[in-house]
Amino acid sequence: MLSPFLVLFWHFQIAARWDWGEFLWALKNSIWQGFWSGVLSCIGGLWLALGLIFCENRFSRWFNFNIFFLLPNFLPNLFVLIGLMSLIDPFPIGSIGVVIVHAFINFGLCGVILKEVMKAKLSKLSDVSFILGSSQWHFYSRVLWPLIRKDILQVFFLVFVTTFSSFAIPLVVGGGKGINLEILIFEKMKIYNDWSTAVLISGIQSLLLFAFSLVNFNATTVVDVNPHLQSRFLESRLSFYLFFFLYLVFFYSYFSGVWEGISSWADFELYSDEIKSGIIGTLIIAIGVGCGIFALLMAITRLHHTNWFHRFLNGYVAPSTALIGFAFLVIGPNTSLYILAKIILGLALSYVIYLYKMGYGNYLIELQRYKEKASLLGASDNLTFWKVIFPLTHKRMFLYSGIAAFWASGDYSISKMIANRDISLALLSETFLSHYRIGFSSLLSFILLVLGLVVFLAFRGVQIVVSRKINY
Amino acid sequence: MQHFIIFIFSIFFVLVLSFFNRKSVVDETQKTLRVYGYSSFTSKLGPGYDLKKKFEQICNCRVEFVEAADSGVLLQRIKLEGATLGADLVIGLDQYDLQKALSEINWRKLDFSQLEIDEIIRPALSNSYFVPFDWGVIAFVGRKEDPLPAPKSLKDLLKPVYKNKIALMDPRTSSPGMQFLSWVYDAMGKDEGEKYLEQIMNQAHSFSPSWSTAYGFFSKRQVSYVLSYLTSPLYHQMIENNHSIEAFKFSEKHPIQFEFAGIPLDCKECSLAEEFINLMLSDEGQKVIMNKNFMFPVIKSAQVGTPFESLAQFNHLAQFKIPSVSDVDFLIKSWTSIRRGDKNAK
Repeated sequence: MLSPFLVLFWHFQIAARWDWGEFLWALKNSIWQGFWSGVLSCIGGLWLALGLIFCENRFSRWFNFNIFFLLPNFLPNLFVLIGLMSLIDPFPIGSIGVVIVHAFINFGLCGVILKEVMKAKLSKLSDVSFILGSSQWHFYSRVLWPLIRKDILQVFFLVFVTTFSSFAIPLVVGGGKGINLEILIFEKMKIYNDWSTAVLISGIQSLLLFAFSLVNFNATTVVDVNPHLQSRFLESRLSFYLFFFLYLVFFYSYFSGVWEGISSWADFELYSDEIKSGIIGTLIIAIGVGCGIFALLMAITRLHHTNWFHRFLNGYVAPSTALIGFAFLVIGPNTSLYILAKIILGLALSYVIYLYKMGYGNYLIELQRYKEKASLLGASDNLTFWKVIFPLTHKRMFLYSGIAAFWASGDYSISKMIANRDISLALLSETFLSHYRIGFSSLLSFILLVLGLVVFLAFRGVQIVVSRKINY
Repeated sequence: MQHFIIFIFSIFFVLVLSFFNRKSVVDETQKTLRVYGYSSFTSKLGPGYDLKKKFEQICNCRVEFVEAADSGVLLQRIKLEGATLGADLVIGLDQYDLQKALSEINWRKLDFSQLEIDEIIRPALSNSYFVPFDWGVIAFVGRKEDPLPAPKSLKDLLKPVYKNKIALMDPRTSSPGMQFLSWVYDAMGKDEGEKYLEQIMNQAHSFSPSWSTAYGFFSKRQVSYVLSYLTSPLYHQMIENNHSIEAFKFSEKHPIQFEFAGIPLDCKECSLAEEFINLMLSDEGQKVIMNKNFMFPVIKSAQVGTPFESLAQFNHLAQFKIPSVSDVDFLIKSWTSIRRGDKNAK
């Protein structure tokens, strides 16, 4: 995990060029943007979770709306901005605009996570509350909030960390006064060529977030093997239809661009070799990252014995993607197979921490009691892992591997730094964008989404097979 | 579990083999010319692909393009890989990158003073290490059918009717953005220029990190005007058969942007690099660059009989000079200060 930092600190000698004024100013902006993005995302996500529960109880047989609401999280930033600017006109430029964009991108993620938390913790309590004559407000304030407030804080921290270290969105809509630490790092690298200060700021940023994470808001996770949730207290028809409409308007703008791209079908034949190569490259990166994440999660699960390890993983923040990319560029040769391996490793290292914070860490903490019971009964570590822990964790491992594969299919930042040509569809899409071809770029980004979805479903398919094999 | 691992590795192996199974046969005895540039040049959409094919036919060598995200990464990459793999030619630096490039890497001296070029290009040859291969005129671009009155000057852009209608670029991350900054200071001077920039902060729709993002907003009709090039409408006319896009002539003289090529001193295939530059500057090479980049060629004869010829008559141009380190430093620091809302730019 620490290897990118170690490489960068070794490569760039730390020079004494430090400006406290600009650092504190950027830190203030980072905290402000991260805080309000987290708050808005959690509020919206909580409400959306109620809508997702409503639709899961009625429509899940026909369509998985989780994926629908998660899509803004995976689209390229330009298309998210264009979609939002169609929704909100005039769009507020500045820190407020940054918060709005981040909140919109993270509504789906927060909603899906909180929906799962509600399913796991409240599967029966809501029915019991209703039968005992509790009012909805009473249920929310006395049952729901006490049980899931730490989970909400956990989700808040997840969004806070992501938006704290966000780069592209503040750069486009932040206005000049919205410069955060990531933009400061970028300024140091690109404008002042001061890579050593950039690395130092990135290191301090990670340390600050790590210190913040030491605050104990670790939520307890109930391990409910077959959660079922059907409750009038936790379903919200209004929430579902409102968010669905909002997202439809957003996607209309995106898909109108995709449709425009279909009209330039002739470009497909002209660039068929590059597109085929991009598709294969994207699949390699996606599958590679998925497998890498699976291996890393297996290793983390196997080594997860102590609380300090959990706190380290929960608090650690990988350096900015530009610096990760550069750290891997510096290590080893930059030809053919090595480039793919570096991209896969770089992405896996930057995603695994994020996935760990998404709930996997807390889940492992809860499984400690099973480990202790097995140990008391005389089982070895190996036996405990393969016969007790792995059957309980494999579904989440495959899910997170699939999610990571989906993210990796659309990666641009790390790939751009390491690759020496357009090896994936994401890079190709950006190249088309820089040649006036926004329609075709939209079409490529849509194909990319489909590929990511295919890989995600492949991991889910393998998970089903493995579950059957271990009879779980 | 074992079956899963075998299954995934099989798929992975097949994909990797397909990825590296190239049609072209690589002759290991052939010399390889390593060219560093941006994807806009080196990709099939850019001129690099056609130039590479033409060059490989005549040189009995292989051309390998290495892309980089921006000039900072490009120069770092050359420093990392140049000694071992070789960095023979660098393409795509603009006048604001030259001083940084000179301070980071040693370059071979080039002499193209005998080139038959337009007098507009002559100032770009004033340095000894980089040669220009195309150029463009910075201008605002809009739609003819837009109900708003066409702006006629930089000062017009501050009128209330244009609020949130203009897409600009951040000069820290985009070359046209830097050109805009320079345009303002050259036209208005330091004090007036700073006041203007403070006002344009609140007037513009956005300051995108790249030209492509800003042009994306314009293409999707989020804005009415975008900072681009005089030749941008030609793309829409020639490729999309769309004649509704036009570039506006401002009362302030328009800045010029040049793109340069240079040969690092540590090149392994230095003579091949010079021959490649010669191809780029030939009539044939210049036509390829012109038609792919939609920028003016440096060799005048290349644009004869093309839609670029009439546009090249545009003579309301600012005097070109290669900015010094202190010039670039001033521009960046003043922009950063104004963006942050500091009263006095450092």
